[in-house]
Amino acid sequence: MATRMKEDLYDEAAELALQHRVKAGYVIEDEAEMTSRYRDVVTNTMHIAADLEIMTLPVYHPALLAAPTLEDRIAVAAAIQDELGHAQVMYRMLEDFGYDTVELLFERDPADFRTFYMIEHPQHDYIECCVAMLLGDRAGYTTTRDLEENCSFGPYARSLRKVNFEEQWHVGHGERWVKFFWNHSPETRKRVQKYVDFIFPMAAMWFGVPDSMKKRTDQLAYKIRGASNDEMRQRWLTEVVPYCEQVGIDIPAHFDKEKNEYVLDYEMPILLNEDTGEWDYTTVTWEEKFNQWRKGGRNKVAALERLQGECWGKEFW
Amino acid sequence: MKRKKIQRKREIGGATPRFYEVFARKTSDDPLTHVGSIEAPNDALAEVRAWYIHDEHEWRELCVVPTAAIIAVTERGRNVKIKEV
Amino acid sequence: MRFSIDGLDGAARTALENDLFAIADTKFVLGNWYTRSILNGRSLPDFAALTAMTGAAYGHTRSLWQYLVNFGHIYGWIERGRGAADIRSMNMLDTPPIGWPDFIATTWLAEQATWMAISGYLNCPDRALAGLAEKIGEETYFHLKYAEGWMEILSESATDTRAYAAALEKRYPLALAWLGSAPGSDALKKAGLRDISPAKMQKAFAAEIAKGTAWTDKALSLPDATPEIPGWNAAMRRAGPLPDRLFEAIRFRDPEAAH
Repeated sequence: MATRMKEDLYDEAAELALQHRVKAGYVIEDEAEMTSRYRDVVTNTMHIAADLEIMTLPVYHPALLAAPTLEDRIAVAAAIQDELGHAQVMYRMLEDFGYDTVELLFERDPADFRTFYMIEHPQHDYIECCVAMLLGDRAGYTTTRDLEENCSFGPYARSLRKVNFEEQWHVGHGERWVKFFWNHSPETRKRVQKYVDFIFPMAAMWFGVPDSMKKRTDQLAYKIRGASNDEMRQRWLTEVVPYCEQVGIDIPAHFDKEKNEYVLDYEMPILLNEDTGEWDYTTVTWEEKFNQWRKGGRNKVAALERLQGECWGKEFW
Repeated sequence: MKRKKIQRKREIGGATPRFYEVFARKTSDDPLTHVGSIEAPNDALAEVRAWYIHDEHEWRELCVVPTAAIIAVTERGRNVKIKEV
Repeated sequence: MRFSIDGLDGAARTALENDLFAIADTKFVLGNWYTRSILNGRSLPDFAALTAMTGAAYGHTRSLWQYLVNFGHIYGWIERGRGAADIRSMNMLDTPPIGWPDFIATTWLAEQATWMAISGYLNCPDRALAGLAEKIGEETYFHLKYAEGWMEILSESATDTRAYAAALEKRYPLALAWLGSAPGSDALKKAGLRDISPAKMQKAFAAEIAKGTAWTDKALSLPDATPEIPGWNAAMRRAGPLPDRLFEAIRFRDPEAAH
C-alpha cells in the first residue's frame, strides 16, 4: 500500500524507534501512537484479513444449499455465521482508520478485493466444505493464532480471541467429518481425496512465498506478526500431515528425518489448471505463479458480484 | 440480477454509520466487558445484530449502547472513543 | 401421570401430529427463505443475521421433526423421503419474494403465525414439547425484532412502504387461513395439550399484525374471517402440492453423503 514516494516521507528515525519499542513488548493501543509506516503495515494486514473473511460467504454458500442433511445445513450456517462475525470485527476496525465499509463491500470493483487464491474457489458440497475446514481454516487459524499471540496493535490482537475460539471449532469440525466421510463409503472417500488433492497446494501457499524470497519484512519488524511465512507453514504441516497420515489420506507432504522437519513433496511454485481443476507438479517460475494469483480464481469476480447484487422472484429460487 | 444501492441515511444511519458498542459477561462473577462494536440505523437492529454477531458464548448478560452516548474521558480527542479489553 | 402420545385418544393424536407437521414444515421452508436471502443482505451485520436466522429456523425444524418420530415415523423419511405432495408448509411461502419489502413482510408473518401456533403448547403436559415451544419463543424474539428494525427503515420510503403494504395484502390471507384451519382443534383443547383455540390464535395474530403495521399509515384491506382457499386439504393445512420450483429448491440432495 505504501508507494515509493510515500517511503521518502517516512521519518526513519521514528520508524526505527517504534520497531525497537514493539520488539521490547510495547503494545500500541491507539492510532495516535503509530508512525506512518506502522499504520500502513497494520491497516494493510487488516484490510487483507477483512477481505478474506467476507469472501468466505459466497464460497461456503453453495455448500449450505447442497448439504445432505438438516444437521449439516445447520453446521454450515453456523460456520458461515462465525466467519461473518470475524469479517465484522475486521471491517469495523478499518472504519476507525477512515475506511468506509459500504464502499468496500458494495461499491468497490470485485477485482480489487484483496483475497487469496484458496478462497477464490467455491465449495460445491458438504464434503468439500469439511475438507476446506480441515486444511483451509487450519491455515487461517495458524495465521490468526500467531497474530493474537504477537500483534503489537492491542485492539487487533484482542479482537482475535473470538476469532480463534471459533476457528478452533471449525478445524475440529473439519477433522471429525473428513474422517467420517473417509470411512463412510468408497464414493465419499474418493470425493475427500479429490478435494484434498485440489486444495492442499493452495492451503500450503496461504502462507506466502518462502522466507528466502521475502523482500519486505515489515510485518515482522513492527511485530504485527511473530512467525515468518516458513515458520507458519511448518506449523500448519506439523498439524495436518500427522492427521492425514493417521486417517490414510494421500497428501504431497511428509516428515523429512534428515532435515528434521515437514516438507512438501514438490518444489513451490506450481500451477493449477483452472479448466481441469488439477495441479501440474512441475515447478514453474514465481512470475508465472504471481500471474495466476493476479488473475485470481475463476469464481472470484462472480462471487463478489453476487454479494453486490440482489436476486428476487424467479432468481430467488 | 440488479445491483444493490445502499441508501446510507436510511440503512446505516447517515453518511457514516451509526455505531453501537456491545457489552457482555459470561457469568455473574465476570465484569461486564466491552466485546465489540456494530453498526445499525436503529435500536431494534442494533439489538439483533449484536446478538447474532456476538454469539461466541451464552452470555449471562448482553447489552448495546449507542456510541454517541459514550463520553470519552481518557480517550478524549482520540479517534476511537472506547476500546475492547 | 407421565405424558405419552400413545395415551392420547385417536382424534387428539392425529390433531397433534398434523399441527406439528404443519409448523415444522413451515419452519423448514422458512429456513430456505432465509438461506436464499443471505446474499441479498444489505450490510455486513445483516449477512450474519440472515445466516443466523437460517440456522435457527432449521434448528426449530429439526427439533419438531425429531419430536414427530414419536408418532411412529422414521426420521430419515421425514427429512429426505417425502415428495412435493407430502410437505405441509404454509401456502403463503410458496411463491418467492419479489423484493426486500416482500421478504420482510412475509418472513415476519410466517414468524408471527408459527409462533402463535407453537406457543399454544407452552403449558403442555408433555414437558419436552413445552420446552421446545419455549426455546422457539426465545429465538423468535430476535427474528421478529429483525423484521421490526427493517420496518423502521422501510417506513422512511413511500415506495418501500407501498411495496410492503402490497405484500402484506397478498400474503396475509394465507397466514390467516393456515392459523384458523387447524384440524381437530377441539380435540387438542379437550386433551389439555394446547390451551388456545384456533379462533383465539387468529384473533391474537390479527391484533399483532394490526399493531405491527400501523406505521404503514394505510387502510390495509385485510380480511377478518378465514378465507376460503380452493383445494384446501384440512389435514395438510394447505392447498395443492408444493410448487415444483420450490420443492427443487428445498429438497435434500447428495444422498451419497447423507447419514
